[in-house]
Amino acid sequence: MGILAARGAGRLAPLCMAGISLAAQAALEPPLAAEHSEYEIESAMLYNFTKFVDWPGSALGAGGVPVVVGVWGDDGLFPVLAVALRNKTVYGHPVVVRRLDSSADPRSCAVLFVGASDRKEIARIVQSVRGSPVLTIGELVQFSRLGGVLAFIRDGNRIRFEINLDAADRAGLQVSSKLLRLAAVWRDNPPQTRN
Amino acid sequence: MRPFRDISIKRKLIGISMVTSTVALMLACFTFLAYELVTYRTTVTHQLKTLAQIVAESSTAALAFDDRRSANETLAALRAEPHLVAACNYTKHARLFAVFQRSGLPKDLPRLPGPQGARIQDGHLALFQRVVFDGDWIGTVYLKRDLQDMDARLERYAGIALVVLLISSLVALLLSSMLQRVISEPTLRLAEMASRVSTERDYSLRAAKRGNDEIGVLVDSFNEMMGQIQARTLDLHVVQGALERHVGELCEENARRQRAQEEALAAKQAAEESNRVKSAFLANMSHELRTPLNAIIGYSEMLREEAEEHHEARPVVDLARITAAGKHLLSLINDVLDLSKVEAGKTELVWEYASPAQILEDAAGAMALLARTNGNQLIVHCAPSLPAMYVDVVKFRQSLDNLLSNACKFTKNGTIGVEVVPVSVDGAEAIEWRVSDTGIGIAPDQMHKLFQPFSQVDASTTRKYGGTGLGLAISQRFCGLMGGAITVSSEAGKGSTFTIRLPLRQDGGLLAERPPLSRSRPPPTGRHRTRFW
Repeated sequence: MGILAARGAGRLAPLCMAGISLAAQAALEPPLAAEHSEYEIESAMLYNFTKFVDWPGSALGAGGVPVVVGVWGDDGLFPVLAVALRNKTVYGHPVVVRRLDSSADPRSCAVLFVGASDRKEIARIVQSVRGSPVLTIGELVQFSRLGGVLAFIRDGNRIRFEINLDAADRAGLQVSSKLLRLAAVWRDNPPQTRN
Repeated sequence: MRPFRDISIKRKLIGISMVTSTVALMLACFTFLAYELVTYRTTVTHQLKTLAQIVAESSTAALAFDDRRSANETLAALRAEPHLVAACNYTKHARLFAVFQRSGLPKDLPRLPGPQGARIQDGHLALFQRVVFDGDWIGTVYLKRDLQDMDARLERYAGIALVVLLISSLVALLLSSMLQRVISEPTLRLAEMASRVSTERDYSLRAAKRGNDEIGVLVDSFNEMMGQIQARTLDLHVVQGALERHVGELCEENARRQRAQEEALAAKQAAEESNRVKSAFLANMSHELRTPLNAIIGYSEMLREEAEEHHEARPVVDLARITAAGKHLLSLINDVLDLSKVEAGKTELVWEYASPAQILEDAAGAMALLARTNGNQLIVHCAPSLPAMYVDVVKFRQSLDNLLSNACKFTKNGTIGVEVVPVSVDGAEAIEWRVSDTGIGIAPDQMHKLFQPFSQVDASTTRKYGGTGLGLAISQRFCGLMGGAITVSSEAGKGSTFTIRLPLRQDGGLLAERPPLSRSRPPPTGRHRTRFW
């Protein structure tokens, strides 16, 4: 792994914008993904993200304590996600999908999907979990640039994602380099990208 | 090519060590090569497996997020591995996902992932490695690698092995050429010695010994054998010398005996010749003597008759003496003549058939007077139905008369018997004439002289009984000529029996074919077979 990673680092750098190529996939094999809804794809990706992210030591609690995946806004995703994560585990913890409203404490979540599109609201939510080990995922490209950790990006009919490494650092989350290879990376400070 | 066993020991030794070392070296080389092959294959497989695991690890995110481009990029990094010819990823649904194919090579990727593991096919090492992420099987990595490096390595090793083989064979050839002398030289020297011994026949030669190994033992044995042969040859020479001497003596002895035999033979021939000459001389002389003697007898009888007519007593007695002396001399000469003829082989037999009874009658008639002279009784007996005899009647009568006159002469006041009987000896028919007397008999030690010429039983006999001493000898020879013999049995003082046995001819039984017996008097037949005279 080390050899390949070291070798590949320079070469892979320009590929930060790699996305999920539905079109290319359709060209090679039957368009399996095309049959799925956008929610389903996002649900599968969301679950996969948890596998490439390390939470800090005690963040997920003792063994057997459920991991909460919260959904803020976007009523359409919740049922799909609930089905997709049924009987799934994250680092051995059972997964619970919860709908969150304004009264709830988003810091109790390990993963927080923010379905809002209002910049102020996004900023408030992000602010509320700042410093907490919460993997925040949003739907807009601004989400990561507003302090969210990870944002889906629609590129034509592809779904890609951008990762704010500073936000991840602040949340104490360790993002796998494998995931970073597939992602666009954003940094707040200094405000520059490496792509 | 010559068979191996005919090649010289030197070459055999070199050949054996060459073959041994070469085979051993080849075995070592092959083992080494095989080990190298296995090891290298294992190493290569292990390397490929490691590489596949790295690729699988690197591809997890791409497979998880279905990121084909990233997967392709990951695979493209394999370009740095020169022996890798192809690589690809399959999704967990066994669909081809990402592909790396070295340019210039045909596309022959398996359409579906195979079972996990490495295998060699078509000179390539191919390997399937499952991509497992967080306990889930999310895809498969396929790597295919050529084995050209392994082939090249094997070729290089084979080349090195060949060179090593050649060089070590050369060294082995050199070494064995030098070292074979240790064994071959003593052997060859021994062989040369053996052949020298057999060609020169010099058994005093000895082989030199170099060591105490088996060849040393062989040399010792050879030398010991040579010693024995030498001793034996010497003995043989001695024995041969003795033998030659013996043979020489034997030859000499032989020659001497041969000479003696020849001399004896010559002497015998000379004796026989002289005997024959003597007999011929006697025959001639007897004939010449008889002629004047007959004249003397004839004229003396004539003179005696004239004197009797003139009654002159004195000349009658004298003339009678002359006649008697002449007759005696004549009979003597006749006997000598007969014997001479027989011994000279000039006797001629006149064969004819005769009746035994008739012959007996005649002989008894002739002898009756002589028998009575000494007061003897003559009794003859003839067996009935005797077959005719085939004989020379004159000679037979002479023999029979001789026996009868002897019997009468040597018997006083006794009995003279003649018996004629048929006998069968060993299936041959014969007739025996037995003349017996009761006279003085013959002592056993005189028996053998009986049939010798000029030998009466003792000298005094001649003076006392007269006779020439030739009668029995002549009779025996006559009977011999007719196929018979005379035998005698006697007891001194009690009498003698002389037996003439004559064989009947094979056709003797066929009276019808016989000529008739012509005699003036018919033969006495029938009942009076025994007569007294």
